[in-house]
Amino acid sequence: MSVACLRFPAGLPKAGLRALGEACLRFSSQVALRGEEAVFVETGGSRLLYGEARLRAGLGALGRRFAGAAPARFGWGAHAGEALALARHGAEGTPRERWPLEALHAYASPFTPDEAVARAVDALCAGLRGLGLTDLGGFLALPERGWGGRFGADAALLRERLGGRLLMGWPRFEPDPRLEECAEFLEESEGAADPDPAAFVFLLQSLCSRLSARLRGRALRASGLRLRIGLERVRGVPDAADRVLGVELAVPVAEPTGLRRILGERLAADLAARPLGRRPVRLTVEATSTVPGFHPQRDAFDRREEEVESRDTLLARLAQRLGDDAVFYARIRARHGAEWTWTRRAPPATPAEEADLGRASLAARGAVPAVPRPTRLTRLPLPLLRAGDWLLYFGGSGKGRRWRALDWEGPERVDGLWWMASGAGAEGAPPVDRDYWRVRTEGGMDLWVFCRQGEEARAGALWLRGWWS
Amino acid sequence: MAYAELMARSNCSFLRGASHPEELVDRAAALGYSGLALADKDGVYGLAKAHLRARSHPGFKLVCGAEVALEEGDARGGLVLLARDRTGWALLCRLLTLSHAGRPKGSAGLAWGDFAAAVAAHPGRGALLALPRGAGLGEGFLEGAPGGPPGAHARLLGLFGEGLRVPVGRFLDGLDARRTAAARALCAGLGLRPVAVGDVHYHEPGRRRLHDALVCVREKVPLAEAGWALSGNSERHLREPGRLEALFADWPEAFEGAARAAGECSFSLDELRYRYPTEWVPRGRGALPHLARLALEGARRRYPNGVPREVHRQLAHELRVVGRLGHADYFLTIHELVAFARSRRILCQGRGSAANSALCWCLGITAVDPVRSGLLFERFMSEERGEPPDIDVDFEHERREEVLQHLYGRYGRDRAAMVAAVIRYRPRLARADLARALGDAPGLEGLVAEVQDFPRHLSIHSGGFVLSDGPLIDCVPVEPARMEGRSVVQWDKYDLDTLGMMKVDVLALGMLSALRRALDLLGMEDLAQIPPEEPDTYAMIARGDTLGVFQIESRAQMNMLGRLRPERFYDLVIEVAIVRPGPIVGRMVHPYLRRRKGEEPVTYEHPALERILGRTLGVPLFQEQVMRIAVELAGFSPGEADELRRAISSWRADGRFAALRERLERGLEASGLSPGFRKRLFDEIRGFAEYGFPESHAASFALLVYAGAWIKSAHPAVFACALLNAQPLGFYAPHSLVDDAKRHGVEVRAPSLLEPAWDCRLEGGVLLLGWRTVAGVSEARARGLEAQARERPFSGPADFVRRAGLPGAVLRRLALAGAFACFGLDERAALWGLLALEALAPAEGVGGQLGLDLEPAGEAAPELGRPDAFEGVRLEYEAWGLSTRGHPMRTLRALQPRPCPPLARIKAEGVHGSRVRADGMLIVRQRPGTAKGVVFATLEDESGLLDLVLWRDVHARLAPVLEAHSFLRAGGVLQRDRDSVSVLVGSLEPLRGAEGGVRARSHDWR
Repeated sequence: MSVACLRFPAGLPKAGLRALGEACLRFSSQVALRGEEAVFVETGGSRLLYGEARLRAGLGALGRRFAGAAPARFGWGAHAGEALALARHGAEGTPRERWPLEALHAYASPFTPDEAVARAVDALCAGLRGLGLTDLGGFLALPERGWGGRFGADAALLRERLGGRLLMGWPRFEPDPRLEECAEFLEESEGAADPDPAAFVFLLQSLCSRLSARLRGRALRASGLRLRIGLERVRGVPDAADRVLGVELAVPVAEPTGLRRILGERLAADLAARPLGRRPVRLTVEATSTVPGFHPQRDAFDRREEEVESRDTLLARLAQRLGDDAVFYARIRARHGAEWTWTRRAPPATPAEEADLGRASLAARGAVPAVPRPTRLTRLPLPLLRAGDWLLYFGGSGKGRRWRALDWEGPERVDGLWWMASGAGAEGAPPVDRDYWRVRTEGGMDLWVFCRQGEEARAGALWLRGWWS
Repeated sequence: MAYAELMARSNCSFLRGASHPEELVDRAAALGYSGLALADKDGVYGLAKAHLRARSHPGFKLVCGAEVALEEGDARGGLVLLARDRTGWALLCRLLTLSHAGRPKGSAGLAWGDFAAAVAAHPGRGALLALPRGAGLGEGFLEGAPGGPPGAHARLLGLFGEGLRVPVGRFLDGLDARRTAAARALCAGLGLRPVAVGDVHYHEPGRRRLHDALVCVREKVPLAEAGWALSGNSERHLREPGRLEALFADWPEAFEGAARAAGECSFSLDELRYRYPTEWVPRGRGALPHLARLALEGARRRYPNGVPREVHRQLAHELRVVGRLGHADYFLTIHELVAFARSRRILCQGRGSAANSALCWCLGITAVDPVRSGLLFERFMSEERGEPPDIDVDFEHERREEVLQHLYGRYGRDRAAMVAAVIRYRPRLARADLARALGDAPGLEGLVAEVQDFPRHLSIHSGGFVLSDGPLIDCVPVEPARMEGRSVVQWDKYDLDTLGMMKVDVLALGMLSALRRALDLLGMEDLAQIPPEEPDTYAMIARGDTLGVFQIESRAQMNMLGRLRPERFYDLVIEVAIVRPGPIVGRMVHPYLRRRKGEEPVTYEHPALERILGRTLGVPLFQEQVMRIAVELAGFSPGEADELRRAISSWRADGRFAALRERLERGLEASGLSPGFRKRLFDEIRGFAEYGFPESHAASFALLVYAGAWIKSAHPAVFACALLNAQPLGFYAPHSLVDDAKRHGVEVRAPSLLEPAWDCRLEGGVLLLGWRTVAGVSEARARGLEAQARERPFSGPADFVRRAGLPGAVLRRLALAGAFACFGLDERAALWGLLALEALAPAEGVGGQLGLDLEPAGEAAPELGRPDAFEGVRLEYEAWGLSTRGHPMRTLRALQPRPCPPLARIKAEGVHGSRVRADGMLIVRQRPGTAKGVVFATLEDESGLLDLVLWRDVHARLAPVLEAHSFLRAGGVLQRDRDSVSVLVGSLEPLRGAEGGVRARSHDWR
């Protein structure tokens, strides 16, 4: 066996390492990765096919392409551990016996960083240093008899590995499957130069159904989508790039109708703004990013997941139309100031989080206030004029209202939400110093009004903040 | 109409109130309240302070109370109890004591049954007002809580009768109507009287933020998550009576009821008549005559050649004062305590101002002759001051527990308890706690400043004991401390002073333990047998060779010794006192040193000044000297002079000194003292506002300084052995003590495996280290080894390993430190053998499988070589924190390019102002508060120590090197002042070869 190791001392992002691993598959079907540090390629058979020099050159070129400025170090060995040890500690021509004791880490666990193994090797190295040993040569020179007794079974195993025996199994690298569905336009009418968006519907429906099935089968939801329209190549005309549309979903979706509608709306808007100008030949739908979905095993009689998916689809479409600021999930908080009793939260990702949205959990968390709060709040406080028993609101465009006050319950003084000063935290709300009253009116409606403490109170200024319906 | 607040909590409820008791009293008085009831949660922690402040508001009534937590099943409620008279107070104290007994800290509470039984059985049940917390007043009372039994108020009515009131609050929180309806129903149903309450948690609305933050600290949640734990508004402050009256306009009976209820509570803490234990007075004899007899007997022992007339006079004067103030029993109690300690051969000595008393000297409590030393009794006690005396006694730190248990045994848990110490917020803790509470909210620094000095939690005073003639719990509640076996009163030493309750301080001093051990090794009975005024001892002290000597071993002290060069006992008194913030800030140090060196003439403007200041060369170094100047030259009485001293001590805190200064100024002027002298004197007095030693205290410590120095000078092996066996104590780590002993010619050997012993010992002048120095071995394990070796000596390494039962890590360290050399094994051979053992369980018969040399039968060890010199030292440090082979610098020096000479040579031969380089191991890093950012450090090598000085900008540049490395080369300019040598550092670099090297403890930043 012969193994090459490309090691990146500065580390390579995981996505980059996986891409490199995928590229190495052209040289060998046996590729393995180690975290963000290294790629192993089994070259025993490939050497016969490509020749060693070409292999080295090819792997080297790949390493440079993917690492960019970060240099890669090479190591060739009889097995992965030796290759990694050389890439870490060896220099060309340095005999193995001169490698430091730390090289044992590579032999112990070449493929997967393992804290327990690392600690064991560190302890072994500390023990060896206590004996005055500093390199693998000293380690190998120790008498074999009693080795396991002195240093343990793991150390004995390590010694065997140094001799090329009892090697670890090869964890084969498999590139990530793409969640992508593709179909070609077969009918002339489908592939007109400036097709009607409706022409895409049939194809889109089929693609979204298949993609949805794949997502659900993996218990995933799509949080990012990509729609690619492959365009016709015409001889003598410069190639037109494929039309690519990306969609980020604030609310992840796996349901096929939802996927179709979201993509369809996005496509229609894009085609209206920028006609294709060329005949489409291929349509590809891909889930570019995913999040965990609900139950991997669907209960056919449980409609809850369908309801949740329908809700999420609706929210996702609304968010696409109105923006993430206008459509979001909120968490109730126990706060005296009624306007600040919610905060933005992430969409529920698990059934437990889903249940947490329910009212029962609010009571359990003590979030329900002791003093009743109105069922409706105005978007902004509305100024009221008090005339005797009457409360008058002069809204624009004939939207004025008036109420006759029968009873004033209160005041409830709410002040000192000082720790919510503007700029502090997500709410960014100013402090509140208000006296609230619940006003029973002649029409049976209860209003929630306030006046600000201090000047306004003395002047009698009132504001409408909400009502009970 | 008058109003009194009946439900107020201060910050002495520990994170449940946001105002000091004094602030509450001041604010209530300013608003025109007729009174205020301070009812802190689970205790009376703030009452003494409130009581003291209330004295400055004549006509203002402080009602004494507390809130007790009651429990029944899962229900829990708070009950505020206010004392109407002395018996009510006694019952309250007992209830609070009961509520803490057997409970974890912070969870005091009384089961309803226990509570009811205690109240029903006590004569004070009718002397308490009871106000149960209801809905909206915090923790709802029992019947308000889910699952609580009905009729809790009816049961309380049965216990307290007309003393039960229904508190009604109006907090504008939307629940006032509900709360009022419930209160009306109770009053109507049970015929109870309502009282308006403010449920005050802070004195003004501006404290609300701090209160919210403290709630979050207590509940361990950030503000954003605190929810309903925070109030919706700031109404729980002391509101104006007019506003309250308007709020209660619909129920004036409740409003009026508050002041009326406060008027029923006549109890004041001034009524607490505290009596000291009296059992030491023989039957038929009074305390004072008995004390006088003991004093005379003691005087005859102190003066075997005849008691001088001035001593008789002084004793008579002191006994008169003691008699007038009624403190004879106190002295008798201390005398008994000291006598007990002496009977057990526990070294002890009174410290502080008690050394000013001839009575204490003759009773054997203190060790300094105040008459011969010219010390002023009024510094300790005076009729003008009228405060109880405060005697602190140091005991050997290893045996102090015997003394404490003696007190508990003698007086019982109901008559003896320790004094509380309130741990208060300081900037670092405040910032940490409040930052967690605030999260992203603004205003952290403002709140940190506001919360300074706020009580955080209750702890124990280091040694203060309150003893009483009758049950202590009738005067003050007692609660268990966190430390097992300790109980503590709910007042700190300042509160006890306010209320005239005396305490005795049973303190621990490590040096006394070390001296006891040294005396035992020398076959001496006590310190009196040590030859006084030995020239060799003073010569050693003057050289600054005082590592390990109590009080004069720090870097700053050694530096001063080289300049001051003590020659006699009083020089030591000055040495102990002069290196303190007080003399430094008062700029007394340099004038004194100049005069001592003869660089400045010693002159006195008045003959009396020569008498008073002669021993300090005309520079006032002690507060007592200022007192004597005031008495002899400004016409102050001794008591007034003591008041002057206290005014000086509290210079910054209050303006008392300003008034007395004028009088002092006039008196000195009338005595003919020049404006220049007076100005210098007042500049020096300013220094006494900082920390400084009383002369008597310095003298007491100087006795121990001399004793330790004599032992070190004459018997360095004994000194080192005693110090090591008394660890932990002192400024330096054991490795420095051992290296210092070696410099004094002491041979030091590693702990023995063949003859293991916990303590270090001496054999033929050789210091054999004990197993207390071995890392990872407990005393119990070491003593077990000792016993095993005595029973049957270890026959070889395998026998030792098998029988010792030591952990593998310890065995490995011992092996690598060469401990197995006694069995003929070098370091690595021993380790090689040990490694074979660790995988073999004892059950497998280790002994049968191993030969004497730890090798499995038939197997030879490989050639592993031996550690080099530095590695050998390093391995010893790993095993026992020091090295017997040599100082690490001895080997490291050879590895350096252009090695530097040893530190002793640099110190001996270096010229002031010359550039030097010095290599050494860093053993001290300091940044004293008075040094304005200057950093001091100390290097050590096998020859001695050398001080380094880094100016602030230099330290800023070199801090990473100074803090990260232990072995350094310092470059700079040598500074010499007589025998005091230091290097003003300009460069620092780590030494080569020391990476991953010796891990030596150092004295850092303290």
